Amino acid sequence: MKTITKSTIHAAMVCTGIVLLFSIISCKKYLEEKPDLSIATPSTMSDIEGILNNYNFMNARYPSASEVSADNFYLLTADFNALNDRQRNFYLRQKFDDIGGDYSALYTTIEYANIILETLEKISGDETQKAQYRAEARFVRASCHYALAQLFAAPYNNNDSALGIALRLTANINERPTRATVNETYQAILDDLQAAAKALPSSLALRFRPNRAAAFGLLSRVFLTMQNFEQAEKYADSCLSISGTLLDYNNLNANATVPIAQFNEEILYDARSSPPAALATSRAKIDTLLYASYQSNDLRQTVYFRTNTNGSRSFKGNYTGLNNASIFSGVATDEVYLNGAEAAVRNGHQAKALSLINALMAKRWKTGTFQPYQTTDAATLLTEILKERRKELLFRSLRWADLRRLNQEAGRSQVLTREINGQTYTLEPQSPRYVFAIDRAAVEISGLPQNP
Amino acid sequence: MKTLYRHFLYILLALSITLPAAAQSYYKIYGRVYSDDGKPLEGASVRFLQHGTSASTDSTGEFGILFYEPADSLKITHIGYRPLVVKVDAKTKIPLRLTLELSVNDLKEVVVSSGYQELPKERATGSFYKLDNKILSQRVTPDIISRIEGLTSGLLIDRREPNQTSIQLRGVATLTGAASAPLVVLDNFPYPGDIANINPNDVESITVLKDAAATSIWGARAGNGVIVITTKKARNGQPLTVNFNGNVTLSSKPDLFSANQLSVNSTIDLQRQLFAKGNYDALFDDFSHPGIPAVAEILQQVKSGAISSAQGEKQLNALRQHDLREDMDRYLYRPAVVQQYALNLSGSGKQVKYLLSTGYDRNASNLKGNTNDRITLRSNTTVDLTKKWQLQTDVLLTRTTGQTNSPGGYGAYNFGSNNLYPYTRLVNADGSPAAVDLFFRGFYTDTAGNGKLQDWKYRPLQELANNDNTQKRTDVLVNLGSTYKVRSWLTADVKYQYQSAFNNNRLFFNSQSYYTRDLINRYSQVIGNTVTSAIPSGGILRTTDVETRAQSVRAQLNVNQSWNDRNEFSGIIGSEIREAVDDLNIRTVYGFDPATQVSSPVDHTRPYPTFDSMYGNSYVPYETVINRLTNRFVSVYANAAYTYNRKYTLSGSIRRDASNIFGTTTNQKWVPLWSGGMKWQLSEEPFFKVDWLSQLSLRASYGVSGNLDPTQSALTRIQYYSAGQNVVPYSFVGINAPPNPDLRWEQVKTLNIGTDFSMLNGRLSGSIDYYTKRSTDLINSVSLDPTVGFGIADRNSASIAGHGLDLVLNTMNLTGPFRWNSMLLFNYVQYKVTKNLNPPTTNGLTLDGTFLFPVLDMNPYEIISYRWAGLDPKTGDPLGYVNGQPSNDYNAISTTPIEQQVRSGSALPPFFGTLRNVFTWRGFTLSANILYQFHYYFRVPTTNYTDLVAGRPGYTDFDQRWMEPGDETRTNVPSLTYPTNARRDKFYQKSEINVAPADHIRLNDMYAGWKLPALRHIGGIKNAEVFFYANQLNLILWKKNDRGIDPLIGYGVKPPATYSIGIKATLQ
Repeated sequence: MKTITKSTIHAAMVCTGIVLLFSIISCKKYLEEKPDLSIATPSTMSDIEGILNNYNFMNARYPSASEVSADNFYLLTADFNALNDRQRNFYLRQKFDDIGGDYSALYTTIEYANIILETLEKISGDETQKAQYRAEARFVRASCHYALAQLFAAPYNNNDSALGIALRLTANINERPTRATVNETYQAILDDLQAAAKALPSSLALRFRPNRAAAFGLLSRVFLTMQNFEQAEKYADSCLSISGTLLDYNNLNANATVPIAQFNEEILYDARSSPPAALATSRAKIDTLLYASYQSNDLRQTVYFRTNTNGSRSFKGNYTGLNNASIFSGVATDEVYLNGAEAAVRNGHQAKALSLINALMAKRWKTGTFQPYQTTDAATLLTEILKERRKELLFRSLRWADLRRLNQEAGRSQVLTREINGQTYTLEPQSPRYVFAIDRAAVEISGLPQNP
Repeated sequence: MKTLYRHFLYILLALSITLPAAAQSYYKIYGRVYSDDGKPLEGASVRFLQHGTSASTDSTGEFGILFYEPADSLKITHIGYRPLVVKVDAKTKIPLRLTLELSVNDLKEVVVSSGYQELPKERATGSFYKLDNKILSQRVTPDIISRIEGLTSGLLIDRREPNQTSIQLRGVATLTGAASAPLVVLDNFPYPGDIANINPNDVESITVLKDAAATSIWGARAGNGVIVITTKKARNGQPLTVNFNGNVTLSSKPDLFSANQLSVNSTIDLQRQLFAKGNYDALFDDFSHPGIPAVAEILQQVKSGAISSAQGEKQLNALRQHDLREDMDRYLYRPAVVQQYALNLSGSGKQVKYLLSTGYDRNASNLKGNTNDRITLRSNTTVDLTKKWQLQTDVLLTRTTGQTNSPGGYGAYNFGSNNLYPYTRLVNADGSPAAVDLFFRGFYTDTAGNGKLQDWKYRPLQELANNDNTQKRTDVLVNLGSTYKVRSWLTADVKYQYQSAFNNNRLFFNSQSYYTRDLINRYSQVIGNTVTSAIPSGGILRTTDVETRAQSVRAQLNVNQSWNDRNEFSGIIGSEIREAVDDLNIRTVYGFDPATQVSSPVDHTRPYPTFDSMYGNSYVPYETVINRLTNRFVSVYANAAYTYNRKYTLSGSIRRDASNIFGTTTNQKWVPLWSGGMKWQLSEEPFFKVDWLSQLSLRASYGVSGNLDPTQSALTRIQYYSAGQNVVPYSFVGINAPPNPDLRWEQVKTLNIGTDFSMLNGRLSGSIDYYTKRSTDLINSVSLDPTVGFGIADRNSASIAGHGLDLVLNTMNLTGPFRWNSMLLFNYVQYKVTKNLNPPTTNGLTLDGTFLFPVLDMNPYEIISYRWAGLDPKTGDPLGYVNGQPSNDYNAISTTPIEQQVRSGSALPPFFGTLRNVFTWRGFTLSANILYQFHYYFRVPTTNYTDLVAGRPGYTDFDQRWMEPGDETRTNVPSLTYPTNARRDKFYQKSEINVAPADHIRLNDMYAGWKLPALRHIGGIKNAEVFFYANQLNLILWKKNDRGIDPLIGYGVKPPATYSIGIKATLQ
């Protein structure tokens, strides 16, 4: 037997020691290296800035189902038949719970906003800058919650027990969602927007980033939806005092395929939906009565519409500046003029209402042809303002909310009909179909109650 | 670690106490060992089994060995030969004359490599499978994977997705596709590159490590098994030897008509029908001017009165006369030619061993315009600086150049809801390339811009002429090693490896290419007679550079000690650091002129109006991406094996790994992985006296390995994108994944029980291994409530349990001048999901088994279908079941609970293997591999009406559809409805009648070689062999399904068989 000498053991131990030392000393720092320089965890102010610049996730995920269900257009049976189930159900206003992106997409944007808000609690940076970022995230969150509420929450009518949406105020994906009431939903939206308005910048240099005018404009819209006309008028004023610029349609090239440019001076906050197949310009034909309501010197007739080979009309007046069916879902001054005018007349401020509506119309008609509204009869003026609202704000994600709101008013409710394959489908003013079903995955996984 | 080391020494000391030898009379006997061709055999090991005295033969085959009276058994072994046992007693005639017979793939006396050490298989407790050069060189393919396919125990290659071949060793142990492949080790270090770059002619052997005892030394990356590739090296005492191998492989054009495509007539009739129903109406008004099927264009002209209906019929009839595949066959395809040449030169002197090799491969594929070249250059040198100190260097250079200029073959032209319909022509009547309306409507591109724009037509054959797409890849692999013999039983190794792979992809769109013309047009504005475009004229050059650099350093101590002839100990202890850095760099330049190498600037900062405002205002594509990935690993490991009296072996290993992938505290990253094993050489026991069973051993091992997916992270992960990818001109940040603080490595626990045997004088030998595998903490994508903002998240949330059996049998059916050897591989593997904390929604679930889908208690590749109740005799509607009643309520069917669905079985075979037969007679060799796969299923492809109407391809089953009552007795294909109903179509497609058994037996490949006897006497030529090889024969000997469908091909184009001819020669 060969004996193992002491010196051999020592030699072996020294070698082993070197080997082990070599690895352990270097280990800790060595492993701090980020696996991918472009993949990181949000930890700096510029990371936040980068997330806010992510247009596709912050601005471009608004729903379009409500516009497909609204009454601005109709489909020919052949075109209807070419659509998928989801679009067909939206078009016919049927209950359909496989809703997909129209439900889920905005919640991702809300999660982004929540990640920004939670990250801002952990990182250091200039406090003013942090306050602005926080305000931007809250604006985005409120804007998304509002858009979701128009589809999935019962119409606002001060009924506290009605089902609102699932409010998401945390980034923790393990926190189980629950549905709030309608009142809680709108209170959360107002909290976010009112807090945001204080810290947002007034500058409109980046029209895809939240700013104070947009927050005021959105507040006027939210209060209008809540039929709180006093506040709606107040915020419309605040908004227009920052920026009341309107596009003069006389300066647009009405023959262009897309006459209205993206980020034009009317846009306070640019946002959009993904393009729904039902609204493809080749399919969606403009409601004939709606088209007929434009008078001949009204430039919107040529700026907004193009005549198809079969004589029907399709829409091209998209405020997204794109030649596709994306719905403009942001805030523009023309809407704020109309919000302000409607709220003013309802609050008994006819003179102000007239000045707002006439200022807008002057920019919509061929120069010198517009006869300003002069009536001081509140009811007549309100009807005229609502007509102009209908003609101005089509394919802007606003019509559905207007229908839900006006259906609650005596004399202004409407019965909508669709005809397909010789069959007529009717939507009554108080129909539960004014509230979309939430996505079935939310019901199955989190057990959220489904809408009736 | 220190404690471990101390234990290590204790074991060492404890084991040195041995039994005293009994006194007996002994003397030396002599003999000589020959190979079966009569030549003396050097290096054979000679050993008395009872007394353990041993010796080895010298260069004349002679040996001398101590013999203890009165009698003993003498065992003679040599690599590549069948071992021989002879009884020796006082009467035995001296000198002994012993002849060893060559063996094919004999299991004994094989040295296997784990990538950290080489060990004799005899003493290995783990499950190893080795493929030597002999078997590897009887396949003529350009890559390693196709050489080992079907010839490796436990290995299954899933080729169902042609571009995503996945390798599975002993089934599936993970749910992450990206992390399911075995680790590939090339000469000691993990090979981070593309395994297809390794020249098989440089490979000496491949060892596949299957169980925990074999793999656990690779720690956190070994959960799916390890494939160790060992390259050729010069041997000790080898005179200068030159090896040459050259071959050419030919294959015909693929038979495009073997694809089961919807016929021209049926396509035209269908499109007519659809036109009448207004299916295409909207397209004619579409502002984006999409391509419209030619049939619809003709009918629209008839409708608008532009042509008469007779003219229309004439034009439609003209379309009927032609099948797109004729043009494709003629203009896009060619016979493939693959050439392969390899030359190596090796030898050794007193202190130096060297090997130089070079290889050249050229592959001209079936698609015109696609070629691939590979040049490899390798140098391997071992220098003994002193008696104790050895240096090794190995340098491998690989350069591959590929051209992919084909615009695409059959089935490659799908664009949105448009494709090349079966009646499309690729050439005009005058033979010039024809335009196809794939992207835009022909009538639009005829007139857009009134001739002031660039030609806006897409012509596939013009693209073939203009495409200029080159991929160059340069691999440099440098290995430096130093071994120092500290003591006779202790060596210290330091190894260093540098690997760099530089991938350059150059995509040049010249000014005539469609991409350039189209982009210029899209950004063009026509004002009067002037055309301006935001895109400068000239070509567009896009380069993608990916550089990978990996460095590894390993320090290791090796102990190898045997004493008293009864105790053998071997062990290693070491540590390793590894870093791999990937740099990605994509750039696009516009207005590029290759002659002057000059490009023009473009303005990415503001949107430009697009032609006809088709895309509103749009930014010029800014395709610049710069990125870097760094992965770092630190590992410490040790293993040891002790063998007593050549009968009992115990082994154990332990390893700890850390990596920066998770980016959390180091503590959480450290995962200890270990294994233990034992082996009993039963046939060495004195009591074991079974004449016909010459060798029998039993093995058992258990251990834990890890598995990781490098794309995972525990924290919220964001990623920067450049402004070019944004709608607004600012760089931005995307959120890739929500936080996942509990992320851990996956663990795979393997138990392996095996036996190796040799019987009937070595005529039957082999091994059987039974194993169980339990994978826990598997990372699995789980569906979230979309309300939380993310649809899915990855969590360590699932487990898979599996078990299986690997059987290897080698037989010598005939010996003598005409030899017939067989090898049978039989593999059984079964696995299912045993835990899933976030079970997927299973209502209405149907699966084709094409991807891993974890439903509890099911195979993750299970095929699940709707129950089928036949066709409705009145309407031809496919009927399923709702509440047990036949129904056509497809909405209700689409939520059928999974318990009521039909589970067919796995889409991958649980039983598979190979029967290999080798016949040799004199210098002739003939081998054939028959592959079999049993007890699995596939989804028979069917035409989906919704897809068909949307412009995607259909199959001939469309012609079998239900048309009138009574048809339900002859067909299962539902009636065509318009509008189509996606749920109805999905129901039919995913119903049980469209599942068929995939079981089959196929003759895969054959090799015939002839050693040229005449050349043996010509100066220097030691041996030369000419060979013929046929591959991809796909000759189905038997299949279970009666639908005439090859389950591996489905409705696609049958790949053509390839035939090779070549020569191998050795000069010495």
